[in-house]
Amino acid sequence: MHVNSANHRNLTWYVPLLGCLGLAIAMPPVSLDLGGMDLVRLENLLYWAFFALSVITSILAGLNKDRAYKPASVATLALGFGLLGVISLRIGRPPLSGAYESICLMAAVLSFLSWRAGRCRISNDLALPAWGFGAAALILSLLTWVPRQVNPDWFVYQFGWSRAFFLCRGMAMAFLLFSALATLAWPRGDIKADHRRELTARSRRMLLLGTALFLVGEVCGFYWCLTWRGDYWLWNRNFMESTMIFILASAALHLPPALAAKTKVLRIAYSVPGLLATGAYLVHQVTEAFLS
Amino acid sequence: MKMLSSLNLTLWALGAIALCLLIGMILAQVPLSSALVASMNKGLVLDWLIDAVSAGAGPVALAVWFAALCASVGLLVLNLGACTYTRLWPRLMHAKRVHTVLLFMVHALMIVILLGHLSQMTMGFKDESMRLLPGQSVELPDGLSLTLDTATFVDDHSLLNLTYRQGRRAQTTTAFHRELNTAGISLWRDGRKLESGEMRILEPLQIEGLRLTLSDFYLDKSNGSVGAIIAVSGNPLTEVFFAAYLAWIVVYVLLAAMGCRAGETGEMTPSEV
Repeated sequence: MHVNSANHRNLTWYVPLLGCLGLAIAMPPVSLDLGGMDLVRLENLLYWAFFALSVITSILAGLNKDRAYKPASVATLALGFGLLGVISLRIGRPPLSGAYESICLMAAVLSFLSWRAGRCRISNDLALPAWGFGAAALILSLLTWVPRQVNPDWFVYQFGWSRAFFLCRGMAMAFLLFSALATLAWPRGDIKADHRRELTARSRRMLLLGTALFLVGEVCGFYWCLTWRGDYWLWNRNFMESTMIFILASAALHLPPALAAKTKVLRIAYSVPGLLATGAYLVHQVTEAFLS
Repeated sequence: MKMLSSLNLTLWALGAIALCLLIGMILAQVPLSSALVASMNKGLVLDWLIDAVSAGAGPVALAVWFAALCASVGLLVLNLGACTYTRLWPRLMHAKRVHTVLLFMVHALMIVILLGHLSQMTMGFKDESMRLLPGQSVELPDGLSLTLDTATFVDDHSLLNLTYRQGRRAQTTTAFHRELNTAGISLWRDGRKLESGEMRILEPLQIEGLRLTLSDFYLDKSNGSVGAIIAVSGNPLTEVFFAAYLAWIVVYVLLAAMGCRAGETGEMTPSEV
């Protein structure tokens, strides 16, 4: 069996992603004259293409059709980040908050993680990319009934701290969800121990990186709140929910050996933070879209 | 000591905190209690707690919830302290590898942060809801008084007195000119002006150890004049707390990156798969 673990541990894979994050935080207000080009139409086209190709790529990965999967995964990734780029150009800032913006961000990052998992696959098995692209398609499907509208350009969005908060949170959600998928993506049948071990280790890595990214977002949010409201902490649902996500991730990373020895417990522990965090995040974004 | 530093106790403490937070989230959402939860933001939590104990049944119930949350966090601090002292410190003494140092630091800093949270809730001064019209003053601790000299709001008054959700939609970069909307304040002691300054939203002032933050403007409907909502807080440990928090995040990120690079499996045992 070939386990491409060393490649998966290579953190240079994340450099382009962090580069995009830095660019998005520092992005100056853009006002482009595109000669009457209809960016909304282009955005819609890209959204549908991204959604459709995510579904197709997930199916191809699920069927282990490697030859067709490879170009499809690259095209899905390109469409995801292309969509983010066009949104940024149209509104003059990166996609930050609200159902449309945050779901597009999450789906693009998920497609990056899935593409990467395909490049570092275990035993030529594409179950994890299949789950990843499938999850991206699933959250993109929400936008078939939630209005695909960007949030109005709130003056607060011009500040680096608030941008870093929203961007890190959206990206962290994708990492945490992917961590959950890595434990859920176990192929059927009697899979070998080192295959299971690698998937569990990947889940743990994603949980660690997702939590780290989430905490970077939190500290940026704390500073934003301090300069805006006079205190870094507010007693409300959002702050308590954020702390809850960190607490659940910490619990998963501190399992006693007796519990960590139980496969089912480990799978539940590693999948709960991602599933709950993403669930709460999406419910929040979708309800806000209908309330406003 | 062994029990106090065990991972089992860590899980119990984290579980208790999660349960308290879940209850807190529900309390913050339910109309019956949401105003009570919001009242915790107005001043120091310690002052709120003292008042709540002598108030009606609602505040008392909320105080019980808060006490349970504090007890759970207290248990976690004890567990963290015991674990850091009995497990991580000896490891650090025997093997000074970078990973061990970071693991020790992330736990030790977490204790500092939790104590920092406690200090922010109990020390210094805080009032987040001072609503002042131009010419009005308010008394602060240490014989200080704050006067709002001017409130300049150049944009449409329909952008005032909005809820958070309404404000987020209406106060766009084209409609709301943050740099031009200012509040001129001065700080006095015993009839003597100590300092004056101009505040903007998201640009707090630090004067005499106090942090003055202009959080919003409001329209006084009785006379049509515009006032300022100012948060005043003073805590000598805020900077220390934030520095510890930043250090903790940096160490956490480094530890996560190292864990990933090394294929580290932490507490997992070979039998886990």
